[in-house]
Amino acid sequence: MLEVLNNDWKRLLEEKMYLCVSIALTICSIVAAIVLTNTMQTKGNIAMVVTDQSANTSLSKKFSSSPYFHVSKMKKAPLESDMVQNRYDAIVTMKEDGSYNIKTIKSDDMKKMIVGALNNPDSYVPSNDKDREIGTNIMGYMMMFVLIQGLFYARFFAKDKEEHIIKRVVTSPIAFRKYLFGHATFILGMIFAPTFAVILIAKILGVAIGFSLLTYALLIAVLSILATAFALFLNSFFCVADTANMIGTATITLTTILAGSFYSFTKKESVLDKLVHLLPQKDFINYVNALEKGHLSRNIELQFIYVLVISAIFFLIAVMKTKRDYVYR
Amino acid sequence: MNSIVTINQLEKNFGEKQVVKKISFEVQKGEILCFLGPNGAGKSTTINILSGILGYDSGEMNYKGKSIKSCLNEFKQHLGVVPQDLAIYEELSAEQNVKFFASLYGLKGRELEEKVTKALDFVGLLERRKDKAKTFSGGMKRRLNIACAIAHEPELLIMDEPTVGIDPQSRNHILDSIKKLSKHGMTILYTTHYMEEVEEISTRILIMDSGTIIAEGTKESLKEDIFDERQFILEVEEEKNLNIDDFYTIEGIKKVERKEHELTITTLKNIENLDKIIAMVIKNKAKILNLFCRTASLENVFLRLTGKSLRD
Repeated sequence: MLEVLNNDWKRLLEEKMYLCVSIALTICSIVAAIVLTNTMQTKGNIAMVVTDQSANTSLSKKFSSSPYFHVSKMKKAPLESDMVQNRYDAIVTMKEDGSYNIKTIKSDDMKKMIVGALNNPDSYVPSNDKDREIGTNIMGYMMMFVLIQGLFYARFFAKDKEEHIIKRVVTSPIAFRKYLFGHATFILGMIFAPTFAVILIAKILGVAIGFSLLTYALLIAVLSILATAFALFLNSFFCVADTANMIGTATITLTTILAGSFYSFTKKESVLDKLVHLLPQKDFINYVNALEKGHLSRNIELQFIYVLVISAIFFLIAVMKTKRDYVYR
Repeated sequence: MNSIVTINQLEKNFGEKQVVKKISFEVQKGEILCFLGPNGAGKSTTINILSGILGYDSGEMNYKGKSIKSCLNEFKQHLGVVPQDLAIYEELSAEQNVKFFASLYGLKGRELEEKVTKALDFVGLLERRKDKAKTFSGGMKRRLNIACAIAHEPELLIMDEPTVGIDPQSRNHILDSIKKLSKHGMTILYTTHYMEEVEEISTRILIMDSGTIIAEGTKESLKEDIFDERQFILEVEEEKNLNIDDFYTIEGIKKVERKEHELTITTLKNIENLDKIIAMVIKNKAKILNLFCRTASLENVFLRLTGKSLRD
């Protein structure tokens, strides 16, 4: 097994550019997750129209000091086009009797948030049930790249098949399972180590990453196992490395987007949502989200186990298929 | 000689097609056993089965008297395979290639280093050991392919058409290497459809066609067994004086042909009649300028056995 692992490493060193690109993509995905999470958490810009009489009401004072909104006080309401141009998310007109009027072109959710803050200005905390935290976003953004890296590193196994080297290996006394485990360990290690290293560096640099390093290690390990098993599974069915790579990349891209690793599409229990749960990526990201929010339940834990089970099934199929194709005694 | 491998009633089908038809043969220790046959004869299938790359439908394979299935690891430890397709890592150096394949046989440390060096030296690539395989010529890659199979010093080396598509210089180098390996005691099973290679290196030959072994023996015995005649070619002057019918009075003469200055006489091999043929030419007042005897080649043997040329 160590011989295969060592040989894969030597082969990778001859293709350093691929390794650099792979690490760069991981870094980009993490940076994108951090930046976009912060952007999504930007406070709402509110234009608060106050008359002389209403300016000093306690409600307008408390609302303007809300930590969840940037409130600009003004005597005259801005043009609606200012909302179109994204200068303001809403215009709140305060009346002398303490009532108010909200005008917004954004979603009802935005209106509900403002109403919530105005009705309960002292203890208002925006609901974050539907939102993802930074840790979930990092894992979600990384997921596609991590899974694609599995395909990339599995190409040494694919090349062994394509260039008939596997036949030479079969004639040697090395146990076939050791040969496959050698490749699997290499793929797993090459996905895990750089990805975790990037997270570690982000932590050292003081970037808020959500989870603890240990939790990240476990989550990345599980994702790496899924990536490895899927890559070996797919490559066991194709004799040409590029074919497996192309089909795998397309499958991963489509299913990862559908699973909502970047953005959750399905907010309600629709048929699509139920179908999408068949994708291990969806179950994984649900688990990560629940873990980060402290909402773990039996159902969520089962989703996590499903990811591990499907990885095991992928791996078993890969071993059996390859063995059936190349080992006859 | 002792038998290393015994194959008994081996059969292999690809769907409806019977590719190997219940063949039996033995590989003797120290010999260079050549499998000769046209493309599609079943020789590569047979050795792929023996190498463990292909399964088989029925039959028995024994290694030193034991079923290969029961001593698979022992057999593999003593087996080296040079596949027909180059099975090397182009992106790695010659040394890294040989090291990897040798390490699969459990070689480590100093022993590994020494055997890798020895194998590279043997195929004439020691000076290029640090160069990547992708920088090598076709012939050098073939030699590296061999080095990867011999570094662990196998007892039995299976070579499947190892000289396909290479230059004559590399071919000669490979054939010389095979003879040297044999001298060192290695048993070699060699497939090819190049007749001249078989003539040069074989100690025994198996001729295969359409999935069966149609003849077996040394090159000399095959020629002896299959051909009972030989030809004398005489280059003559004054050939118009020759009366062809006179030659048929000599014992053993089967056929006489005259073509300008050349007289071709086919005669039974076991009858000594050359002196009578020469006497007849002189009697007819013709002058012999040149004379040579043509014996059967393996190509003739093959043609006689199968009714087709080896490269058909």
